[in-house]
Amino acid sequence: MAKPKVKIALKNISKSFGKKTVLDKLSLDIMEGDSLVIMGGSGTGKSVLLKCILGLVKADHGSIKLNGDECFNLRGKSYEKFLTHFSMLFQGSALFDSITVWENVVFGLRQTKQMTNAEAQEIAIETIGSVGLNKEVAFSYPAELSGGMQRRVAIARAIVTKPEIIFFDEPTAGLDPIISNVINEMIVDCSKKLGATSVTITHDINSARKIAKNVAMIHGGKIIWAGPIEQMDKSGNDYVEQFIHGQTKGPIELQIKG
Amino acid sequence: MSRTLFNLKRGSSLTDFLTLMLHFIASIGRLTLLFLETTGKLGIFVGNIFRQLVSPPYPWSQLWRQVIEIGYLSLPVVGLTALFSGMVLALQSYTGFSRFSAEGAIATVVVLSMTRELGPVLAGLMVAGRIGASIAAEIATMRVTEQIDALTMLSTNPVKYLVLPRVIAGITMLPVLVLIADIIGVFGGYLVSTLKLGFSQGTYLTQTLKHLKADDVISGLIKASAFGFIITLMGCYTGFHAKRGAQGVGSATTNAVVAGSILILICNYILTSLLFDK
Repeated sequence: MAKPKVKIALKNISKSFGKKTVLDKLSLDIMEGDSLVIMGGSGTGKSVLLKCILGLVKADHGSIKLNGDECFNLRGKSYEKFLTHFSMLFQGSALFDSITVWENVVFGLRQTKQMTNAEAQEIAIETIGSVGLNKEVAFSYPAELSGGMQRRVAIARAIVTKPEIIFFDEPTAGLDPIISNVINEMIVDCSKKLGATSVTITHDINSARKIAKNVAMIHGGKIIWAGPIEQMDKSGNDYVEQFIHGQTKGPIELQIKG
Repeated sequence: MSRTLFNLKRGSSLTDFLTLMLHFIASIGRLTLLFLETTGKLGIFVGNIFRQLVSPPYPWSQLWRQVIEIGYLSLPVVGLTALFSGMVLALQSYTGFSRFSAEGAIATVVVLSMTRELGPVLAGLMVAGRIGASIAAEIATMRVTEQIDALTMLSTNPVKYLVLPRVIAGITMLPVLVLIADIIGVFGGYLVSTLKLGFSQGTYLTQTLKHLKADDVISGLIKASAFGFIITLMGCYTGFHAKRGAQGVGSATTNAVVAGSILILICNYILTSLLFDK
């Protein structure tokens, strides 16, 4: 069996905001076709890590390699090309309020491919259908949809361009357990169908168990444990133990003050 | 004993004074750094807008939307402001000029005031309130809800998609609004002068056109274009750099209107000096 390739290699990524160090020489390899879940407490830099990889937040130091090519601090056309490998589901869905659902779904596709309105609408409706939404939803505005429906539209927008890598930032945050499961299943299905590498950020352990092939735990700006999901319960790491069982006592100190 | 106490008190008040002075100097230093940082960021932001201006394709649908929003939908507020300003100007001019029998100059005063000064400044300030606030609130909300990051992820440059259409619409639509405001303002003066102050319609119109030069109107339109740039730039800039949360959106909106209005007044003086016709 062929050894899987490293899709994204992060080495010594550091990021500080003023005096606060969020990422501290963080290193992590994300394998091709993997479904990696990054867990960690609130404010541990999970979202910042994803944004640093994507260049939405500029990391202070380090190396980011995509398919072996250095991509740290890219600019202009090379940055635009770099982004075409990715798509992202944002924490609050980040749908554009001023345009309809179908226009939201094909927004990215229309920036890179010439197509008529009818063609774009057809693709959008087909993709909306694949995330379990009715055709009628396509002509609504995002504000008219529930949180769960908005999240599905955002997934449709993330998969319509058939990206190689998909980032999911807290995909089940604020959703009830049933809708959360629907979203989890959808993430697994979409990643499988596209054959994409997926990175999911969550602090929902149930979601992690459903989505992950591999898990990485971030704390104090570093990856303190990484391994297959099956080994998470017997990791022997006190931080992981405390986190997955939600214990208030342990090595993870609760931040009372900011 | 009392001498030592006196020396102690004197020593402590001197320390307090020095501490106060140091705090004062530190505050000036902080403000200077903040000013330089903001000016630098604003300069980079403007540079980015100009870079997008020369790199097609352009988001025409967004531009059209902003032309409607900034131009067409601002007409009622600008029109009403101009109408009542023209009417008040005629009344106030009459009060003053009648004291030395110069009522005949009212039409000239109204038309020159409206075209050279009141039209552009009042329209600029009203649009700064309406459009500057709306642009800042919309873009700041997009910033805090990660919609701007989403735009980047969807192969769309946020400056080209959000900022460029607004700035172009501001620069082109403000002169149109001011031209309409000039006409409505003059009409307001005409209404008051003919219906309330007893001027003959023909004489008023003749007086209005007699001393009006093309330069008077053009200087107002140049000002309007500059104000359109300031309003949309400040709205976009404060929105783009909004901090997290509802408070961030509120601050961005307030800063857009306050900074926009102050810059309009400063720019008005500079342009008036440059365009001043002896």
